Amino acid sequence: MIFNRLELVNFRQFYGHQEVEFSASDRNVTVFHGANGSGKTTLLNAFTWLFYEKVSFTQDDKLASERALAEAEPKDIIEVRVTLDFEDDDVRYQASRSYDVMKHHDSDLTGFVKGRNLVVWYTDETGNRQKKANPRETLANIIPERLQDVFFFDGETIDQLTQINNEEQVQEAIESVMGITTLERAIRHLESAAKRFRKEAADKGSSELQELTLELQGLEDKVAEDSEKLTVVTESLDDIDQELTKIDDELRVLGAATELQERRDTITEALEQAKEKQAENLRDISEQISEYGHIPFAMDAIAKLGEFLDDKHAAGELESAVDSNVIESLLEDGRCICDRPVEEGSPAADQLSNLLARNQQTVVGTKGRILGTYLGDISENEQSFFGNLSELISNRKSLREEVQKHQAELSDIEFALKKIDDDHIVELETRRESLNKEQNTKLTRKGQLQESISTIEPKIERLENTIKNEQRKSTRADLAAKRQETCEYLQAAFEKTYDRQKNEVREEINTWVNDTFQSIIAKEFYAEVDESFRLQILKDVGDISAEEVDKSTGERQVASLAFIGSLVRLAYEKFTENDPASNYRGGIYPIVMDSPFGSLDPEYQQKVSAMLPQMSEQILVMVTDSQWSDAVQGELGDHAGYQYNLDVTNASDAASGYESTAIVPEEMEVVA
Amino acid sequence: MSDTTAGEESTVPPEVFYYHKNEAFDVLVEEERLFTSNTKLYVFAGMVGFHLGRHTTEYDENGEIRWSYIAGNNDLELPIAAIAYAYTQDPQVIDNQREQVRILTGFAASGANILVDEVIKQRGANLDNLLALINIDRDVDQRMKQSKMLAEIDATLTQL
Repeated sequence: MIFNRLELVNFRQFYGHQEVEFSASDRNVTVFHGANGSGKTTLLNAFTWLFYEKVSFTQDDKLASERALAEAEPKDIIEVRVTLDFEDDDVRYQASRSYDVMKHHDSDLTGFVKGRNLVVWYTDETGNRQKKANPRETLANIIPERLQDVFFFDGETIDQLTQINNEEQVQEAIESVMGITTLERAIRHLESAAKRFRKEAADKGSSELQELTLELQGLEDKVAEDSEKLTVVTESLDDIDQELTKIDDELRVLGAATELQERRDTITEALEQAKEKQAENLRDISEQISEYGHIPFAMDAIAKLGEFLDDKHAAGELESAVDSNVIESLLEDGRCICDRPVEEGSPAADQLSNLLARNQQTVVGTKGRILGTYLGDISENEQSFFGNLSELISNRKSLREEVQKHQAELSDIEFALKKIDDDHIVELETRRESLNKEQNTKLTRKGQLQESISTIEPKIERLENTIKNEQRKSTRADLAAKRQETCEYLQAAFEKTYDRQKNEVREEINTWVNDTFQSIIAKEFYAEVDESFRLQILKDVGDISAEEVDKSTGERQVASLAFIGSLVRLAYEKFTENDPASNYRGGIYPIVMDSPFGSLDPEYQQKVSAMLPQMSEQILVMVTDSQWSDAVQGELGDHAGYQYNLDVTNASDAASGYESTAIVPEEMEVVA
Repeated sequence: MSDTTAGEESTVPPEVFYYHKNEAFDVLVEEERLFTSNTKLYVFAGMVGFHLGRHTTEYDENGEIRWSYIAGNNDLELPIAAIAYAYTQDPQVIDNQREQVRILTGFAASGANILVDEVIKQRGANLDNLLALINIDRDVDQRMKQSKMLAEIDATLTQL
């Protein structure tokens, strides 16, 4: 992906209509200079708001320019908009998110969001401009929301990547830059093939089988329908939440209610969190015991079975995962399970014949082979079961005490608020109560829908199994059922292979992560992503190598930058290799960073600056004037295609009386 | 290997089978929801019975389970096959899920009675008693070695 142009309309301090172009190719860096408070972080937020409707401002409802609101009349609508032109995978896009913000009264400098809009246009292969039906999904597919901290990052918090519990984020980052893999496609293809065989088995089976299949289809439709309703209820709850937030904001500034409201906000939030955690905790305990509680009692027997299967496998006495009947049918039909022809005498036909001959001499059948491929997983499940259970039990007691405490506090506050003698507070409180009732109704509806879905899903699973058993009874349906089982087995095997490849990518990235890290950090530290996908900084201690060390924020920042840079580099190399045999295709990712030099010593600043242009095909960097030192400028200046000044007009100097920022292009040297 | 031929006893599990459903199921599944289904508790009871070496052939068949609730779930199918193999030492049992169900049901009947004695009739919360039962003595080093070995066998058998 390459960003071409950004347009801001009344977005925070960027008053009116402003545009910037971004640099790519040889001079791949675009620099924004500005003093503290000039709007650097707002620019970063313009990207996250456009892509995910998320911002990191303290007052996240104040998106409209204060100056624009001050100049408007009550009931006027102000447009707040961010539009981005970009290219991804040779397709040109224009994404635009906007709010219609209404000014309430003369002194209203926040406004009320009356309308929200997100639209994504793209240019199709015939050159026509088309609108995407699911704009939110389109943007989330291009850069998934969980990766926003990786590709749109605040220099002050980027070190979080190296902290504990960020394994999931590191892992998802690796998966995302791998792109859509051949294996993922194969997994999806096998899933749909399994469904096709299920239908075929039903068509060829008994009337009871056909009825069961229809019942299954009905349940699947019901889950889809409930999921849609759930989305609508959830969106409506979001709207209620926003209005409640607005009322609470107002109560917070109405002298008599301020203190009580602020306390209520804090306690309500804490209570909701504690209750959610409590319910989740009980569900989790029950789920853990139900799913895995039996395994520890059988582990020794499982180990003995594993050893037996291993011996039989080594002796060639274990049947392959593909059933003999399926192999015979493939040879007879002259077609593979993926529908490709298998001609007599071809290598594929020979392979199938050999597999068939081997199957006929085995001692343990297909079931043994299939169960054997789950030995590692069940052992892992047992280990994680004990770890999870111990943590859940210790949380259980502390959550119960927390809930009781918050409930008592909240009851005291409600009593006190009702006794305040102020009509406006009473009016707001009344509206608040009504919204709370509506919220409760919708929350109940949401719960019902979630309950309905979670009740149906196990039924679907059981029905699928019943159908499989029914299929076995019918000779005509049996073959299709076995094909379906084979597809499911292959799907599981491919998923395991995918996990192995993810680890290979991790190892490949590790070399670059460490090289980059060591080229900047003079000390004898190493950086690596370990097997659990934790980004760590290590050092040799005596004879023991690679022990994790306490790190300064600067070192953690460098490790995080090295990781992001390595990811983007790998993705780019895979993308440009365009190797059809490769299992993943990679991609091009720009990086947008606010104050990347924040916690770095001057020496590190220079080295990081030298590294940045190599990190990605496109870098957008926001810096303060003090961070734009001679050393940084010396390294980055020659790579900067565009530079902009964030020119602030302070409230005291502005004719309007309100602060605003203009994005002013700097004149650049022309390079031949 | 070949499928069961005419005259041989079927190895396919019965679509519906019957088990000893005692007070443990009423309390731990219906009332306290510590188990998400009777099937999960039935398998749990079977493993407890196996672990303590208590198998019986004499029990009430007052509970009913469909095989389809178990089929396809490897976290259930693998332990069931494993205890059946450990109990019989017969390789044929690995492909004979009908026999596996018969063996498991015998262990589950004893196991369910143990749960009444050790969980429900003991003092204290049932959840706490259940957790005490699950926390069986474990040699952590031995389990790590076992886990590594199983992962290696798994990798060998997964190769396409």
